Amino acid sequence: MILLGIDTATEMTSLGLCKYGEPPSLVSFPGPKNQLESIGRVVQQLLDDSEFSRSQINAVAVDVGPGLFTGLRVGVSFAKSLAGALGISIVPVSSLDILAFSQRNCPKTVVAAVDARRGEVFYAMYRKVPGGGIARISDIAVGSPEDVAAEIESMAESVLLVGHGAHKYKEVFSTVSQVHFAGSAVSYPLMPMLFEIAFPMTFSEEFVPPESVEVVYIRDADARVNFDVRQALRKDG
Amino acid sequence: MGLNSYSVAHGLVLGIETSCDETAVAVVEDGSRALSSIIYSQEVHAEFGGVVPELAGREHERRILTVVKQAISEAGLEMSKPKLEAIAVTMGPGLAGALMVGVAAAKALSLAWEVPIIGVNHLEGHLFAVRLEQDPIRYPAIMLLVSGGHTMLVLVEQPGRYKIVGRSLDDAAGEAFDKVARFLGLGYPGGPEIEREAGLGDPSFIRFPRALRDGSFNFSFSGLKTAVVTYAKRNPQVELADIAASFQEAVVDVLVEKTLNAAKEFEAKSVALAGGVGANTKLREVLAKRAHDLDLGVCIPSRENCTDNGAMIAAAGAWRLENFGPSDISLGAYPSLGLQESI
Ligand SMILES: [Zn+2]
Repeated sequence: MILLGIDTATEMTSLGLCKYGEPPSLVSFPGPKNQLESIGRVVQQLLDDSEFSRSQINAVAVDVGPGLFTGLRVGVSFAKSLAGALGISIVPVSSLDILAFSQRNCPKTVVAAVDARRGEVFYAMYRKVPGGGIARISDIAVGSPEDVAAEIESMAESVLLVGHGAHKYKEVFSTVSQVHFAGSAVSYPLMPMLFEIAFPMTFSEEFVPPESVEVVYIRDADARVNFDVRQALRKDG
Repeated sequence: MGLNSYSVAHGLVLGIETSCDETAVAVVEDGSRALSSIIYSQEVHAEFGGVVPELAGREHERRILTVVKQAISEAGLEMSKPKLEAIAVTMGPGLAGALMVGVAAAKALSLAWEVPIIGVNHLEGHLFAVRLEQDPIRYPAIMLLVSGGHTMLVLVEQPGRYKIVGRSLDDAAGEAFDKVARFLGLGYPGGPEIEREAGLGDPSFIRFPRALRDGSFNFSFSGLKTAVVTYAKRNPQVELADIAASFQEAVVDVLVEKTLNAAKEFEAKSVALAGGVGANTKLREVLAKRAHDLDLGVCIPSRENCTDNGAMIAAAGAWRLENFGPSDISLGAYPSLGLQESI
């Protein structure tokens, strides 16, 4: 079982190729800036450096967000088209699930957060599952760090924060006494974690046809938000 | 330079176009014969009266693979082994987030099928739309490129050698149609709406001003737009159809006159039409008739080939591949690419 991994959801782009049970080959680079330019060349390189041919890839595991919209579209469009042309399936994984998975042995409630720009974070809460693994116990939401901090405070329990969204607003979250931070080494979704989540999903056939994959945006497009407000005002007036 | 010296890649080229609000993919043979051309026009923008970039990006991402699959199967090919010579993709100009979806998809397909990729300039693509039609064009030609984003007169000495001899100093012609349509309470996109309404009215009812009659080949539509708005406000009793017809008449008049003047000035052998506004019936009829009267060759592509489509990108790509070779896999998206620029 061989997976190609694609993660373009954050400011750290990661691409990888992994045969089950073997160490993955990985390439990561910062900045959404060179994502589009690099993605084809890096995947080509990963294949050339491996003993596998493209026809041996069984599925494409891709981070479908939430995260940076443009980057997500580059990664998901690439993943879909590649899978479509190779006639294989896609394993869609959430950026927040990947972050939380890195803390799967933590006994506390884990809150994963990625930067949503404009002073907000995308976030979700997780709890360790008996027998191994970690499960999401909330919806994925978007909010200001202040609101998220207040929500955590009201939970009145010890919480572990993971992800760039947490580190970026460390000052805000630090005002809540029961908050702890995971190390900055896991600020961005890590490709080995994506593979660890994706392999069992592949084995249990939890994959989808490439054209059915949906980017997880959480936030509406700006125009729609503004338009809805305008419409509402018009109706009132 | 005639048709004989015109060389293209003869194999099958897949063309991908996602620069604005059309997700379009086509398969073209010999750089001129479209075996398939699928155009998915995004309707999400209608309620906003203009293209919303973020929504365009989302729609392209959602549709791209489905449209690719349709184009491949309608051309009688197999997704697993389509036997293409290359994949051509619009690299600019256009909306950044929209272009990126097409380029990312093209790279993945190029990698999976092991065929080269060619970045195509969208504007050059429009100029190659005439190649998809039966009548071979005689060079030098004056091309009127009119769309929602562009209004320009291009002297084409031969494929690849362009000189922009005139352009709009303010709104693009398509933009003027959209804005006037919105003001008159007609729908979006404005072009077809104005055309439909105009068909019921009298084009000589009001004589709206024709701007920049200064011998230059530049255009200006913002004054005309203001004149229409002012007139409509002051004369609420006048039929909408008469206003729409008179407005359309003014736009077509200026476009055709300047095109023919440029053809004369640069001793063009033919005139050609490109871009979404080229779908306008009145413009097509008047340009064809008046150019014919002057013994000029006329090339007016079908409406489908005037509006954004993948076939024109594949046609330009086939020519680029033959003459300049493929692009690098590190190709990006270039939102403000100019007509003469290549990457
Ligand atoms: Zn166009």
